[in-house]
Amino acid sequence: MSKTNSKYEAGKSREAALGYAMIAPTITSFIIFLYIPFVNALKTSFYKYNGLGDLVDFVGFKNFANVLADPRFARSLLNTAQLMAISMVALPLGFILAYFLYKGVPGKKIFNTALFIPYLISMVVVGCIWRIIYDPTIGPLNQILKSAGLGSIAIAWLSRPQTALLAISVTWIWRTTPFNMLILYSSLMKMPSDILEAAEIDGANGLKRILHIVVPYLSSTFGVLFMLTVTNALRMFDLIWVMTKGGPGGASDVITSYIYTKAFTNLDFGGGTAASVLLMLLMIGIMIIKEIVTRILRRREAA
Amino acid sequence: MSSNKGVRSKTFHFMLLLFASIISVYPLFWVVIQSLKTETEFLKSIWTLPSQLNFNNYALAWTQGGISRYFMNSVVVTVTTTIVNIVFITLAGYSFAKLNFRFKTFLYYMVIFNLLIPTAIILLPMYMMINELSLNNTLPALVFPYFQGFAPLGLTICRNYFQDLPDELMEAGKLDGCSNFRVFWNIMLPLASPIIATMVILSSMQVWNEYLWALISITDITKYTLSVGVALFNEKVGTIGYTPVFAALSLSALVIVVVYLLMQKHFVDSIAAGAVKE
Repeated sequence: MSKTNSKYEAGKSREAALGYAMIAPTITSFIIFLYIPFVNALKTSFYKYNGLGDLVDFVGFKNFANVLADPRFARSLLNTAQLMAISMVALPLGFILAYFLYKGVPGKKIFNTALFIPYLISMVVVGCIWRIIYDPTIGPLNQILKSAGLGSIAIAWLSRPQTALLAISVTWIWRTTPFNMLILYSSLMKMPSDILEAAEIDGANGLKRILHIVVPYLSSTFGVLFMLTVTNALRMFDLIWVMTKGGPGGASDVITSYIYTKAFTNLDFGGGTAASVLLMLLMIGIMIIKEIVTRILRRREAA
Repeated sequence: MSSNKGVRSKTFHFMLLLFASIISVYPLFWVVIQSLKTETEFLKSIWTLPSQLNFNNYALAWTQGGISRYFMNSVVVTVTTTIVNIVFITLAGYSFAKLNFRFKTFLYYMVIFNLLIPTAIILLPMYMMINELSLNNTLPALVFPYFQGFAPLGLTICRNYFQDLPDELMEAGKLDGCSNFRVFWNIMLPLASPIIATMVILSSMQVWNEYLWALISITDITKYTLSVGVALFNEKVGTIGYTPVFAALSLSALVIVVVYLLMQKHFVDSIAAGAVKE
């Protein structure tokens, strides 16, 4: 009895040893390239540092004060929030396209392929292409506007502070709608057809059917896409950098381009890491609020 | 009456999808057409078709523009990173799904946690680490940070896949006297080929298109990846002209479009599998 038991124990510890060995490469890489740098960043944010050599010039909270007093930092946060809000348009757009494809039209396969093309092109190439589209003289957009007699609104879209961010948002929606379409379409294809048939027998008309049956059916998919839209907006950099570099004068700066400029153009790594740390605190704050709100809602539901 | 209405709404759906498709495809189509014209032809009108097909712009971009070198660099980076991603994630995914050891949940969340960290936060810390290890302009400087970007998603889908494989397969293997590792290698791994194919596609797309980190960690122009190289080439539009830039853009976009058209179903399934709830 004790012999089999110890054999069993040995099997357990062998299994654990293999378990650790198999995750070791992943965990090691995360410690070296994520967790140690993260701790170092906390330290760097208290130093005046240009990115080279050792940390020697301790400045206390000065970097944090500078960043908080920098109007460009606030601007980049607001711009990121604005982009996040505008990019939500890609959800209903993606849904409409997915639903029409699902309902079936002649040439559905071709439409499906064509509509997905923007998502295949890298953000950098998309940015380069759209920079030319928005070009004030040679760009197709303004040439179309001019020939349609709308020359007065044919402006330099990307070099005006009022329009730069909006123009980039349009490009962003153009690039992200196909992704939402694809995901919603593949969820729709899994929808049991009797759900729709039952509604048709009940006499629900088209729009009612969509709003009361199809959209609720897709709610968890919408939830995933919503979260992806939020995180993608937070990560946004490529399009901004290729199209405007955050300009003119910070008008289209987002969080990432602000931090990049601070560190690599102004050579202020202390300030850049301080901005990163502030961003992290903001994220934690948002998550705590989200958690509190969900708890309150849940309690109310239970009551 | 009712069928009439049906026809009308079908027509409306068709017209709307047609309109959306034109908006989706036209920008790339326009760039490809312009890339086949000479610079003078392009400057004369941006709407005409090329009078004759002219591939000079491609030759210019490919050789003098350095696109060939950037292209090869991207191939090397993408292949190496994808191999690392697949090996590390398949091992870890199986371990987290099927083996028992202490602190398993904690270690799992150590990896998944990265999803919550926006790139902006980790960018400078990671750059300073690369500096400290003197890895600038080397392959590992790209491979490991890219692995870190891929790992949370890759691990989620890979672990879920292994979890869904029945435990009876493992038990049967063990009764036959296989060690834990043999069970993984001989029985489970061959069954995992669909999820490995999915990961190869997701990883390749992610690495091939990545820009920000390559821009920061690679300063030697001979080691630029295609994204960084194309963006740089695009900046020089004033000196080299528009049409060679169009050729470079067409080239980098069409590579992926062609791969997509060749294996559309795999692409679509993989991208759909990648949109999972964490």
